[in-house]
Amino acid sequence: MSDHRPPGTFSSAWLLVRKDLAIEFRTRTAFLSALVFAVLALTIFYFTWDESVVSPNDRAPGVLWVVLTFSALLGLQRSFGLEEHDRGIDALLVSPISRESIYLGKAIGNLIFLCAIQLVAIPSLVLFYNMPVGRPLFLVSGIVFLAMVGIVAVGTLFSAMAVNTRLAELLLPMLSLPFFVPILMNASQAAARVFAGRPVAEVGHLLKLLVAFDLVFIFACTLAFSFTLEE
Amino acid sequence: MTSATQRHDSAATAAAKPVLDWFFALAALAVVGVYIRAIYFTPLEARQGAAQKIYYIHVPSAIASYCAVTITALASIVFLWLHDERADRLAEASAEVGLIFMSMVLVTGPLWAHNQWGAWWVWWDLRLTLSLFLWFLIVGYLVLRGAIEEPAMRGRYSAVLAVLAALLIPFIHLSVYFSAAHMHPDPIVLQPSKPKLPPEMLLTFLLGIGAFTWLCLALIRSRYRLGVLRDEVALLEAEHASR
Amino acid sequence: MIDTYGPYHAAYIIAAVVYAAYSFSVWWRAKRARERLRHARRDLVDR
Repeated sequence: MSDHRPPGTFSSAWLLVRKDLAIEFRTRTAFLSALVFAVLALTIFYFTWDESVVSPNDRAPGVLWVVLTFSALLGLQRSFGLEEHDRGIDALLVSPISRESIYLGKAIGNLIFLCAIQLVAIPSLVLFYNMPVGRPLFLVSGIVFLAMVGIVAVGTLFSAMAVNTRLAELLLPMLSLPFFVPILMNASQAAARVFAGRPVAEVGHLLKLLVAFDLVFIFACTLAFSFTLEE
Repeated sequence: MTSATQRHDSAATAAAKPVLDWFFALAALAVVGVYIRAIYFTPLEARQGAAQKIYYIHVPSAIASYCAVTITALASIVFLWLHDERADRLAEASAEVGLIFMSMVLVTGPLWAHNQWGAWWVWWDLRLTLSLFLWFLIVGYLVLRGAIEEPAMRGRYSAVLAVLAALLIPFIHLSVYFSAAHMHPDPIVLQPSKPKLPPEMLLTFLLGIGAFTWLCLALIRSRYRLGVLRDEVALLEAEHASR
Repeated sequence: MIDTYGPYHAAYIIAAVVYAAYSFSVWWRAKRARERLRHARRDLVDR
């Protein structure tokens, strides 16, 4: 590059995403473990209810969110864990990319990771629980994506914080789950109604709250991130 | 940054102050007074019977706990802005005291709910559900603090969590309202349910709010002083170790 | 008629006990901290 301006926020974020994805692609362990966990959990939950008492169709929406939450936590655990080895985070901090870029890069990386898992998990859900394919499924996937944005926004920040403490594996779920509550409440209710064939307009208020949450917390967590990396 | 001797001197004067002082004693007396009034001098409510009296503890504890967490949130903002360790200490003290009061809300709530509605837990009661999630957030806050040794990082991280938690509250409120509201015909919004209380009951109620909030503030003040002592001990022990 | 006195008594007693116990714990921890403070000061003086 001829000029030595540091790359802008989004391009540096994207650089970080490519780096993390490259590392992930080379080893694939985290992705594969999260994937296997998601599909296994889906199958196991099938047997936790008596088929004749609660139909799989009724259970599926709930199972979807449980599996999403826990595979998200698995994915988030690893995102800053990557940097812990060899104190990679110091190299990031010394480089000219801004704190916001680090956060956005990590968050987008996590989002891609989660989307990849859901690309397998959702079809598996449809398969094992005999869910309807078509417009409801498409809408639910959209709702899942909105939920994942919120989960990733908050989870990336807490993952960065937890990694610096003594109780990292405990703290990430402990801090994140209360923040997931509004996401899950609105998304799961909306998804359940959509799966049941209700019109989207009926869940409009839930989706608006979900989008509002995403926007507020992407903004707030990007700001908060600079405070957590203050050296 | 104050010099080491200045800090030790101010800590010494702070350490000399008793942790449970007249302010606390009066607050405790006020609470005892409310107890006596609620038990002996307030009539029973016709429909709900004696269990209605639980409200004289449940609602004041809730209001006191909300004051405490508000103090934690505000002190955290001040800490992030001014980096004053006193703000951090206040945030920690308020969180711990707030946890105690919040726990009482969560204990007295089901006792009343079961008597009133036949169910131990009612998800559509906004106050109870909000208190539950606040409880989890405070526990997370205190566990986070416990997991970080270095004071500056501990202050910063917990302050960030406190501010984000404050941002979260309206979302939880609305989400519960949207989801639980359709489970119950008329949701109880976040205000003490306002039946037309006869004057004696209303007075007990108001006195209760005053007394419990006073107790909460007194305990925060005491816990703050404990924090001063602890920080001073940590400082001296660190100095001793570094020699 | 359901028993309304049981929960009423339970709530009042539990609240009184918990608030009193917490106040005591603050006092007790302060007492321990003051002792440690005395020790720490003595150690520093003795060098």
